[in-house]
Amino acid sequence: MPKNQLETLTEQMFYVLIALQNDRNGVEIVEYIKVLTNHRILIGPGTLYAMLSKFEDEKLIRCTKNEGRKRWYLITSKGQEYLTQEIARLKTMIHDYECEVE
Amino acid sequence: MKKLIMFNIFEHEALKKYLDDQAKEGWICTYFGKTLLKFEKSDQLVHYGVDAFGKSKEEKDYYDDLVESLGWQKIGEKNGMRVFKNNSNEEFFTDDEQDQKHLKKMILRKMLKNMIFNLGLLLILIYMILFSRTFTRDFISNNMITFYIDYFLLFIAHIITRYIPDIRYLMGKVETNYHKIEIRSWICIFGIFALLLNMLLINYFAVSYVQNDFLLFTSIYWICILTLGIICYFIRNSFNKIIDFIFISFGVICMSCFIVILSDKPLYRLLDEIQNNKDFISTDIPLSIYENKSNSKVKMNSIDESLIMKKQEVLEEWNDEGFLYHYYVVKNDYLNDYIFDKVKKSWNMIEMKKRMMLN
Repeated sequence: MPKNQLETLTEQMFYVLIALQNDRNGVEIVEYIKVLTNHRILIGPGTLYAMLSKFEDEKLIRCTKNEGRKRWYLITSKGQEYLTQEIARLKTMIHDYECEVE
Repeated sequence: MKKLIMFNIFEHEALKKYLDDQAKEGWICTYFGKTLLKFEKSDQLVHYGVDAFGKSKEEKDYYDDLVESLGWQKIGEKNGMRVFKNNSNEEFFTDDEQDQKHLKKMILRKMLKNMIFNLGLLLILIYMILFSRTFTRDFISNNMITFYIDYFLLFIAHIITRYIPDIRYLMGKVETNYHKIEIRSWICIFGIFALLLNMLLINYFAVSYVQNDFLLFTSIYWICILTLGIICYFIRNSFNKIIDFIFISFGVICMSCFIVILSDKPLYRLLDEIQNNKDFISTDIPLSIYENKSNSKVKMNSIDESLIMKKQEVLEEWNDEGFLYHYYVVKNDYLNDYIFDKVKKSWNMIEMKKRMMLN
């Protein structure tokens, strides 16, 4: 992950935040992203753990359930806002590209 | 195949590269220990995940569950560094930056723990060199010099293996070449083993000369080391906190010995008294008999009674001409040369035999 990981989202981070629109635990997040991206995006356990910890520290997600050794997470309003900004940024980039090409 | 190699917690990148390279040659890691790695020949495709985890137990349990749920199998864990494997084509990935602060805390804790242990060892060495009453006689013995050198080298080796990589890490330098780590490991493991063996052998020979304080120190040292080694061996796969506790306890024991020794009733004196109560006939210590040729009474006390302690006997005998001969019987070790150097002109060694023969 890049140093400025929370300034711009990586592809994997972006999909993790999308996955957490609903309550999901680690395994469910990975499975959801696999299906959504048709196995294009694969997330290793080390990366996933680091992302979830970082997101939780930044209060972009919160732990909703802690059952045994498993945890379920959900995106927060701050996280949602951050994701919306990121989507807007991506749309702007696409728009700028299209204007330039056309 | 077994490999002896020691990776520090922050050298997990080098460990991963090492495991990957072994896997390319068809060797799959089946056991990951502190110094020992076991491999088996296999054609399986294996991906390794190696990381350094310095967080709480609860966090570790959660992380382990997450990793295992995603199809990774844990091979082993030592000192916070864990190795996982997976037969699929997925990669593990870790985020070093995030764990840096946890790792640094761990390293500092480890250094503090080791410092307590080292302080104990160092105090023993300082005592033996500077404060031991028998230092002078010890020092003139080659055996003792070798022992001190061994002890010092062992101490230095411990410092090098324990502190230098940690300090380098804290300064931002991490070794990524596993060949260098492997060489370093071999030097450390066998260097330390050789020094310990050397000290053991020297101890064995030195004991035959009976130096009570030396015997006591080495006995305490070896009892502690062996006990520690045996306990750690049996609980090596778990109870890391107990190992830490034992490690610190050993340092505390060494320091306690140092304090007791400096107190009014030193331990070696106690041992000495116990030994003097034993039946002398049972000993096989070589003895020397010194004769006072000048017929004048030479007070042994004037030399240094503490050096001789109670291990001498005075024999008196009238010769044919009616002169009183004084015989001093002392243990036949290098001590004699030193003590009688001062009275060499009037005293000569006339006989050397075993105590048993005297009786």
